[in-house]
Amino acid sequence: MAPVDLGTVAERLFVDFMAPLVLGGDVRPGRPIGGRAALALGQDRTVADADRHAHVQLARIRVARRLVPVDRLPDATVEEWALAACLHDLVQSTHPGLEGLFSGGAAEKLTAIALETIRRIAKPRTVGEALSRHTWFARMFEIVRRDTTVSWWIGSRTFLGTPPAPHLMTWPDLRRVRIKKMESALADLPARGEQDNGIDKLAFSRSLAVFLHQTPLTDLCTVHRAAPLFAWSPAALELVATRAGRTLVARALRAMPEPLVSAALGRATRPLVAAEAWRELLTAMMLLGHLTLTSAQRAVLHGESPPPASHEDIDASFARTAGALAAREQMALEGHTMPSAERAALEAYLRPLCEGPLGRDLSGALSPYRHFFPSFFANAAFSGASSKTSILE
Amino acid sequence: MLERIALHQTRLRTPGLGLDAKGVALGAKGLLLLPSIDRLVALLSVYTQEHSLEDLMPSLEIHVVRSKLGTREMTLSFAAESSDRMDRMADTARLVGGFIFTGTSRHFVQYRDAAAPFGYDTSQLLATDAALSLYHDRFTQAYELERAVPLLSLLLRLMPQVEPATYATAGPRYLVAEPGLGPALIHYLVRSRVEGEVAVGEWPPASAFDEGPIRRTIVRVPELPPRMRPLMGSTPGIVTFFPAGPGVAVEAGYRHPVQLRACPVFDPQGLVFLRGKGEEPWVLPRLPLMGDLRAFARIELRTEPKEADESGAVARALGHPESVRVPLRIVASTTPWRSVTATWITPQELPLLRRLAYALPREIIQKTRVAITARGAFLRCADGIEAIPLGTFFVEIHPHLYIPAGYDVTPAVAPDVLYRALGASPAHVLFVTPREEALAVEASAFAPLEVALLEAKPWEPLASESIEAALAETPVELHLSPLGTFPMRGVESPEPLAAPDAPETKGS
Repeated sequence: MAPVDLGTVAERLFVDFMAPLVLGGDVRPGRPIGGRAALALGQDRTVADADRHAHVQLARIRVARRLVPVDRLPDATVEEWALAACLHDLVQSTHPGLEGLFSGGAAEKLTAIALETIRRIAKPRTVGEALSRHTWFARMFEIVRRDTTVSWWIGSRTFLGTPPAPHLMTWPDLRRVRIKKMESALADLPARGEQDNGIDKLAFSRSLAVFLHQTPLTDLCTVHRAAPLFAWSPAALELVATRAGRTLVARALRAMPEPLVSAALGRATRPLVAAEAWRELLTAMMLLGHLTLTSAQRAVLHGESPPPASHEDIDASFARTAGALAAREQMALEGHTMPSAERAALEAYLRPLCEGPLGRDLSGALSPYRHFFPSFFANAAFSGASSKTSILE
Repeated sequence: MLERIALHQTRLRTPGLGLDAKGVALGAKGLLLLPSIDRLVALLSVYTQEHSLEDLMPSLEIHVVRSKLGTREMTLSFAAESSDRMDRMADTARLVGGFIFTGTSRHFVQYRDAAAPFGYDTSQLLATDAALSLYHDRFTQAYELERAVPLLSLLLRLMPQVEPATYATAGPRYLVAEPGLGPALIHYLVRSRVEGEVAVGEWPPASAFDEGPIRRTIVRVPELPPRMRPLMGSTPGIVTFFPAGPGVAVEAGYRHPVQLRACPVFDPQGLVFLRGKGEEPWVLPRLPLMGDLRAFARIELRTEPKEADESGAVARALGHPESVRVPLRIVASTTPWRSVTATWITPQELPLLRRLAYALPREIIQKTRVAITARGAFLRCADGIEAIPLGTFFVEIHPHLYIPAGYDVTPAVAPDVLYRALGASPAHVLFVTPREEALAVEASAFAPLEVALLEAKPWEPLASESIEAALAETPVELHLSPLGTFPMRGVESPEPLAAPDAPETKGS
């Protein structure tokens, strides 16, 4: 078997997949890359197309500057090359060309190789690395495949991500040709028009979730996506546990609709209570507290009252309540720096949330661990929306 | 799953969907899907500003529905009848962010819009046992009915909104006084010569520890003098209510979110007092008998005569008295016109009023009140009605009693006597016509002319053209190309780890 030319593969991956993923435009994935090549792609790699590379770097900085004022980002690291190759292979695992009588389960095999490769890639060690990965994959959920179903009087055919054959559309009146177009988002790529295929949509969503664990900032910045649903991963919790990471995440989440963010974070955090994973729960509550304190400051400024707890939206109510409890702890630690009138107004805003039925339940569940709170929150040392923490942690 | 219906298309797939005379796809029912109850209230509020729900009431149903994912939404269904009605509903639904569908039993397709003037049909029906299947160009969803929401209970649960301007509103009102305050209030009103009727309403005790039912005094006053209005609004224990429609009244200082006059769900024989501050409404299933306020005036008795004087202090009847009653006559008078504050416009003259409406100044339109009856329109304006030179002018000779301008009543009795002789209640406004007929119009039927006058034109939604952002991002579109004969050639798993803690990649 001829050896794989890594330079050619890397150039094709950058031009046809990585660059359009950042800049927008047509993503044209090629032949599957595989795990061994993916892990070796980025070693001493320099992109040949300097103009394209400069455009991509500018677009990445634009993504980063939505969260933090930086002026330059490093080139793609070995891990980022490998992650891009894995996402490429995951997308290609939904390619209809991998199905067929003699394919021998090629799609499942490719997915298994991609997942194995993802597990070999190191987690981001700093907030800067998490931000760098996010700049590559921030738009991954914007990938859309346009599918076309052409039906005529005796049959029909579906074209996935390719334009329909012109001869099928000739004599439209005589042959009663009907064309139906639809769009499939990233999580829906396994769908085949109106039919389902062998690739399990749920399994593909799980694969995407595993991929997202490697880029936790992207995971948190797309928290209200439809699929895969957000769940706390160790990498996301580690990112949120740092003050700088929490600041970046909070800046991203504040720009999204609060009910959706609260519902997604609440849905992910409630299982931590059921599993009695207290350390993880408190870490998640720090982020919720950060968000709730910011909402409270804004609401107090505009004279609004907190939204009432609703049984129909229990996840969002849980997130707000847990955030209010955490915000109260934080105010107990650092509230003396606030003007007394502002502090009183914030406490009045948080009180109905903390003392409602949901707040009482959560306080009761947390009571055996309450003596840890001061030290835990003091170490976390988070504050309001005006944080200007550097990302160079 | 939706297809636009083409011109002259006759075959439709959706069961229960047909084409009306205009070729628009229409089922027996219309159905509105609203994401929450506040949108439903907004819809009712907007719709009842211009239209009455009376024609919808027999078929109107509100349900809470649940999708497969457990989300709850509201539906409002009604008989579709015509595309005109559906168009009106569709306009309102679009305004409040709802979706409108049409269908007959379970399958409802999106009603027509600007993109499909003849409506939509579905290409494939959902295979489901759900009670509702909705087909929209943005989604296709099946819903189960969770519970019905009666309109009356919804209206009763809606808390009136604060509207301080209503305190100064003129017109009929109810005063409800707590036990103990009733006699004092009645005496005060009688002493101040305020016309009205009084009744006592009974409500069940609030708890088992109360001794008996709660009795409150209800006074219906057709017109409260302006000097008394602040007093009634600020006296604890006396609550003022304004009639908001047949059988319902809303507390002064508040306004119900929905135009209750357009919702004929309240029993006109009873009375519901909707209270502010989130308090429970007071409901009277049957309005008790109301008596004239003057019957409750304080009485004083002379000292009892020692002995009946036979000498002539007491008149005796010598025979049957002859009747001296004469019929009322209206005769022309030469006295100058004063206080011409009402006019009666016959149905034949109403088109003229419509044409004149364009020329009327704003102040006149604001201050004039109108009641539309089968005999024509009656207009009243306290500052004078001469600005509307139409119909038969009337002069107010007594509160709520009008005679034609330029005429006098014979025999020349006092206006108060004439009013009592006509035997009308204070809740009515009496017009004695030049033909000597007396017409009584309910005082609550008079509505501001500006509300009755304007016929809102159906508006045409215009889509604003989006301004392209300077930093617009190109969408990320996936294009697939053939993978060749052996797509998995050269695809290898990562090398197996040499040792459990061997480095994976940089930094691992």
